[in-house]
Amino acid sequence: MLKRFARMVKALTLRRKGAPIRPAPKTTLTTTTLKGPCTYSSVKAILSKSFDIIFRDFTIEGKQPVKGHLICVDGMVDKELVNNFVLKTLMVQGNHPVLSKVTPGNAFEMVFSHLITNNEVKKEDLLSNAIDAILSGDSVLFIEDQPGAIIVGARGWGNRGVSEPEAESVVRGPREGFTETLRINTSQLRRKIKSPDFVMKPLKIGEVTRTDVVMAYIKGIANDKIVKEVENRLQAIKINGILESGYIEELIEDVPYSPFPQVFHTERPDSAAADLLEGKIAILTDGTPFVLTVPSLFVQFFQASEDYYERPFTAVLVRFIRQFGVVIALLLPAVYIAVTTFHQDMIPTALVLSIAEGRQGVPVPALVEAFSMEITLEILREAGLRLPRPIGQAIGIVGALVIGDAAVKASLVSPIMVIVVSLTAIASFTTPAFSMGITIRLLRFPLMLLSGMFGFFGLSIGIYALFLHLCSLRSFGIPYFYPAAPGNLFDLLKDTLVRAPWWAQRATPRIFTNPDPEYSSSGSLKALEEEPS
Amino acid sequence: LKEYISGRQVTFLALGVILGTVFLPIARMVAEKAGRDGWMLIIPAFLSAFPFVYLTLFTYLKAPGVDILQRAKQLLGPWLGYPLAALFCFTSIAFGGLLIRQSTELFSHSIMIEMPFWVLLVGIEMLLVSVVYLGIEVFARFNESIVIPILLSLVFLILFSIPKAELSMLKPFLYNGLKPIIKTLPGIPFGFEYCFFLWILLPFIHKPHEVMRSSFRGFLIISILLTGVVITELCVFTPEEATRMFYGGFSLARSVEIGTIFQGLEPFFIVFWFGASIIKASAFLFCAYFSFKAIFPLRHGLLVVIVGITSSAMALVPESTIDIVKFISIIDNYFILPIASLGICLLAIVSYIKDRRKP
Repeated sequence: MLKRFARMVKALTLRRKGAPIRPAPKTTLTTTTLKGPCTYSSVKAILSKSFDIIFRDFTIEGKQPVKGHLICVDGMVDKELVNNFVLKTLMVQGNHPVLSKVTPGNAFEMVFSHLITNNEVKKEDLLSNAIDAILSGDSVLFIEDQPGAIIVGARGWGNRGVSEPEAESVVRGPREGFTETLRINTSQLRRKIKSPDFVMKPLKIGEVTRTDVVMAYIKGIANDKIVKEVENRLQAIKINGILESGYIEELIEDVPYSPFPQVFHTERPDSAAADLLEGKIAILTDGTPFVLTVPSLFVQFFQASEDYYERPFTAVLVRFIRQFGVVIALLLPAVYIAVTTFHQDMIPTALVLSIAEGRQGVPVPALVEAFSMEITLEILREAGLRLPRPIGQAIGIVGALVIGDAAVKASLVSPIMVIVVSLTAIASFTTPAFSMGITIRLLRFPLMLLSGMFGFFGLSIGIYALFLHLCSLRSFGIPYFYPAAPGNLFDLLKDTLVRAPWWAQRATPRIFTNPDPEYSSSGSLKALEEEPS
Repeated sequence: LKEYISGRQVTFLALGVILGTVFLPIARMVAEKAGRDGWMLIIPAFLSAFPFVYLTLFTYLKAPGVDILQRAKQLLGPWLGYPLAALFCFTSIAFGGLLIRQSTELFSHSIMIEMPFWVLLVGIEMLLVSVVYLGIEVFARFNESIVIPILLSLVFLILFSIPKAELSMLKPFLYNGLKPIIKTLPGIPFGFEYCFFLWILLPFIHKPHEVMRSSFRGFLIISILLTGVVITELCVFTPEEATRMFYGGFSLARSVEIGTIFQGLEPFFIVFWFGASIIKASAFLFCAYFSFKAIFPLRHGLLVVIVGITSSAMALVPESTIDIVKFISIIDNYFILPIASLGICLLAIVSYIKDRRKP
């Protein structure tokens, strides 16, 4: 029993390198397991079970009639393109000088070179690749008695238009965001970075879903070793399906059990492009507007793209407010609990009396009071998020005003606790990155518990443990807490605590680009070079 | 992963490792022996340790890549090398344990008087074991990230105490002449604590030749800051009163007031100073870890556990604050000082001779 439990705990906690996640049964036909030559009959035998696959048989009226077959997926293919530029050219153009030369012997070559007027065509000999292409939305053309297939790029499905990302809205800056379609996303990046050094490498991840993933970086700026490491980690993913970039994020990050996000994600093409220009690598996943950028630093989660569009002084002010907001969101309830429970002598007498008066009649200690208030707030926030927007807003107002007021009147909580919790909630919204905001909300609870049990001693232990953990983290070999530790005053002043004017930011941040260990201060890139994972 | 420490991190390590909780009793230590002129001996005391940084580096550079303990084994042979490692190990464990006990005192004597001792010990030990487990590079980064706020807290302490300070307390200067100052110099061995730590730190430094410059910066900053703390304490409490207080820093922190709103800021200072004591204790636990490793090449995790248990046991030995101060003084003067000075001199000489004999 105990052994089974230990095995279960081990399975849930230890990440085994290279172990497949939810592998597909061996009997399942996937494009990776399909081997053999590409013929119409073999493809039809595999795909004919699905009703959404279109099999179009036709005859090319050449010198001699030649049979042809077109396979595509209904709803994923641009029908107009296929009809006008593939079928029409092959079927109805009587007395066409080229068509009249087609014989069963040369049909394949003639169709490929002279008859299909699409700009994206490719010959394919492998069965797996042909099926992959069909299921990805391309059309595949077969000529009777001829080996191989012609893949015609004709993907076209209904997609959401480019719109402003709601979670990363700005007052000044582009109003466009990534969409769920990979091709649109890559084009958005390409539109911003027109350099020939901007490289996009396609990958397919997910044994069953075969999700298209693109790794993008700027050659010459991004460090080759980091690029290689990212590629290795992506290729090492063995999972049955990828439905969102969050899957990839969890599978490639250095310390999966850390509360801190080690992979940055954005919906904004300008933000992704800025990261690319700094030497980072972007990972775009089909089906999601969230693009991952690696390596990521802790400070990056407190920077917004607007910081770089506004005047430096404005950005400096906003950054200071954000940093102050983080401190409040993380520590205010814990400090309040510690001060009211253990260190009352810290508070001026007038304030002590006021707090004591407010707490009169409250039946629970400050720790329980703060915990219940924080949990109520989290419930309200979660409820507001899941409900339709107008109802969600109403829930927030009802929760904040009505319940809060009623709780104070009923002496369930003290008025000062309501102030502390409200301030904390407001301060937590100052963090631009949602993933880091959640982390700060999460970390508040253990700190509250520590300060409620052990006062400032517990709080100190908690704070130093957090610092220690931050210092121990790496993102793709780069110290996560850079430029605070390893310290770099220049980078700290250039684009961390404050934002220097653009003319002062002459060099690309060296931590991502230069392989000299001295730049990373603790030689992390050197370490990466010595032992790639 | 191979661990590296940069020159800048060495400066911060010098600051962090020397500082620890030294600023709490230093005013008493210097005032006891040199009276009101005690503040004058801090900078010379630190400078006197500086040649030994050079000797440590000199010995290391003769065979880079191995720490001084392993170098000692190479130079003196196993019969002398292992006992030296054992002595180093005992000194590190004893000093580390005492520093842990002093860290608990930081709270039990100020803001957590009611808290049971074992709770404080367990909390601190857990944090320290985590530091040692994560390795010396993470420790260097951790130190780097928290040492500046710690130094700033001391600067603020000095600044906020200025209104209460009376400079006349220091006058007349050198009333008893230079003799008491010179006699007290060996009694301030904090610079040697850093030299002791360098024995195991050097192989991790990316550019060892930068150690001298980095260490000098660290020594200079810390000695100026500690001189400031001592002058403030002497001026605020009078030299006579300062000799009676075990931890004068606490009293100074307790007396800080900013207007009428902020008073009793001691807990905030304690939070920062606790970080300083953690750094110093961690440094000596690292010394213990590497010296254990030199004698018993066990697995990393097991060694960390052994270091944690032995240091906790050592922390239980002193029975009172007087004992802690006494034991720290004994380890400082009779173990760390001789190892970091005479020990390194011996190794440097042997290394030099052996080097010359080489064809």
